[in-house]
Amino acid sequence: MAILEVRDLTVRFGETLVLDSVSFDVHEGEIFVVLGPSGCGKTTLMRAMLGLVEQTTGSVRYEGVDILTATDREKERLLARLGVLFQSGALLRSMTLGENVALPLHESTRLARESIQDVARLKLSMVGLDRSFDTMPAQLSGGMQKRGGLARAMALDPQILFFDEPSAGLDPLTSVELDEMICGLNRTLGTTMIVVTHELHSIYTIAQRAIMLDGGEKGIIAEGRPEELRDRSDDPRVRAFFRRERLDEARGSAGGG
Amino acid sequence: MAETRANADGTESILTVERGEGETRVLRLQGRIAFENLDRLSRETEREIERIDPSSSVALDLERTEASDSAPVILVLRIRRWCKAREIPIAEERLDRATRTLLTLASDDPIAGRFAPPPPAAGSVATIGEFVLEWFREALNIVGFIGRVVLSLLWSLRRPWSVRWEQVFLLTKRAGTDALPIVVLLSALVGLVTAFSAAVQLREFGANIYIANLTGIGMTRELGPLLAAILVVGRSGSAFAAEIGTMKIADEIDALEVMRIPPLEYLVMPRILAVMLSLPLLTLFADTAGIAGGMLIAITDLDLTTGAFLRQLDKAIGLWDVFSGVLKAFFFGILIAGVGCYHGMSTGGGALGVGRSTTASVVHGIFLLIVADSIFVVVFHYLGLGGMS
Repeated sequence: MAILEVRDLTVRFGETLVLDSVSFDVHEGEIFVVLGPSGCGKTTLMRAMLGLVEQTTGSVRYEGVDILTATDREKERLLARLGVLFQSGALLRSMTLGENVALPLHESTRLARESIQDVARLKLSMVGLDRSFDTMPAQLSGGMQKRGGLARAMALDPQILFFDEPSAGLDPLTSVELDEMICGLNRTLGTTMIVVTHELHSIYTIAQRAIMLDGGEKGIIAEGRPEELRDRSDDPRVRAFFRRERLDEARGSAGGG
Repeated sequence: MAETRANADGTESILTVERGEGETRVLRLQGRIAFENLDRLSRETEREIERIDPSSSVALDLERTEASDSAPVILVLRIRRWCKAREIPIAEERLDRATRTLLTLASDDPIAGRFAPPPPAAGSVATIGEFVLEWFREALNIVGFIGRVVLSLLWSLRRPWSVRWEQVFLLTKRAGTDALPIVVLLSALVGLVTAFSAAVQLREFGANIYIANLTGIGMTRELGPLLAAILVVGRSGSAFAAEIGTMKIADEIDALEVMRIPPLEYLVMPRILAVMLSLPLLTLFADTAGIAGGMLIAITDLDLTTGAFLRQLDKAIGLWDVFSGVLKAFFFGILIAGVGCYHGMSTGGGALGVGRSTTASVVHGIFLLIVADSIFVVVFHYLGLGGMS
């Protein structure tokens, strides 16, 4: 069942067309990956799906509710069901890690202060940061800040979690850990995950289904399981991406073979 | 015994405690557990556990709950703590799948941190002592920093081409020329107000003509340099702290350092030079505007003529009065720019740190300004340069 339907999504920055009529579905409980080379509009697509981009047309429907046309009230209720991990973690620097995770709980629930503390501690312990509850974000490493951002994104037990380049700026070990965490949360909680990435390793580990965007096309050029895309695609751009080749080489081998 | 409660959304949650096998009490929760009713259910459950005889054991049954968030997990963690506190063993935990998996993802007792004793607070005497020591340390750092800058400034005078003069001129415009209108306006107002307040007293003694001495000496020696300096602290000192602080937290200072461009010479020195040069000039404008304000009162309120006022002014103030003010302004300039740059360079901790540095640059700037001014007054006095002519 589609938990999210994107139809004819078109994004412009001023005069420049960034995404041209993109349509796809995300099914409930899957890990859905948006991939493509840098500058192809992956992050813009994610931001547009969250209703964060001004010049967007088309529709982004979460179980029937279109986030682009929703009233403020509807949008607020919708966003409470979504969690987002931004590229750098986006923890608020002026608060401790614990206060960061508690913030959405303060804003969206009427829980008592102690209960909010307990939920925040639970979420931090799920990402292995229970000892850093009173730490300021600046004192945490990049990987820890990202995990902290994940704890905050999970504070309200969202139905859908968005990840923007989860492995960007992390060492291979930490990034593998984060990938495992994403898979683990998906398996145990059944949370739908939408991951934007260009890391081949992550893509193979976590993706159950993927779409590939291309900057020239300004839209989707391939859709399917990552192994299928790698082995069966005729598109030289897709082959180049998965085989880490230069585009002219990929074209050559496609022509020759 | 069962407590059934209808939730706000029409669903029900039921809490029961039953006698099980032997001395076991079965604590059973059914229905919906969510953030909306977590606090209420917690209170009721705690009360039930307090009623259980400590010699018995507890079997927990949450298998038939409906959950959409992590509220049941919190409840289980709390029940474990309450039972442990009363030394009631938990014989069995029957949980639904989601709660079980969430618990395995978490650590053993994630909510323990809330019950940990807070770190012992220092006594009030120690706190005050710490504060004062910190304050002196900071003051020492600032003085040391300014000393270093002045040294490298003297050093660079031997190689004047190494100074970034175009940057100095740009900053002089920003710190000096752009501040001119507000400095002139405020000094004129202050001159006006002091003269106006004094006029009442002077008229009483028939000493109208001394208004010229009052505004003349007051503005040139004290008010002119101080007013200009305080405005420059607010305009430029704070700006320096924010500019350099933002560069610092974005690693730009480190980048300069590894490119072998000393930040002290590249960033701090042009700023010190700019304020050091522009503040004495601003002071001259402040003096003039303040005296003009006083003269306006002398003419309108004390029936003096322009000529009489100016003749008396000429007798009242000497070159030294004006020069001592300008000399002070020169040192104030080094101080203000130094404090601003120091706080910029010692910024840490993100956007919040930049805000803190900016505030500190203004507070410390004005404080040190007044301290320095007092020192000048005392030194001039004992050098025999402070008396009235």
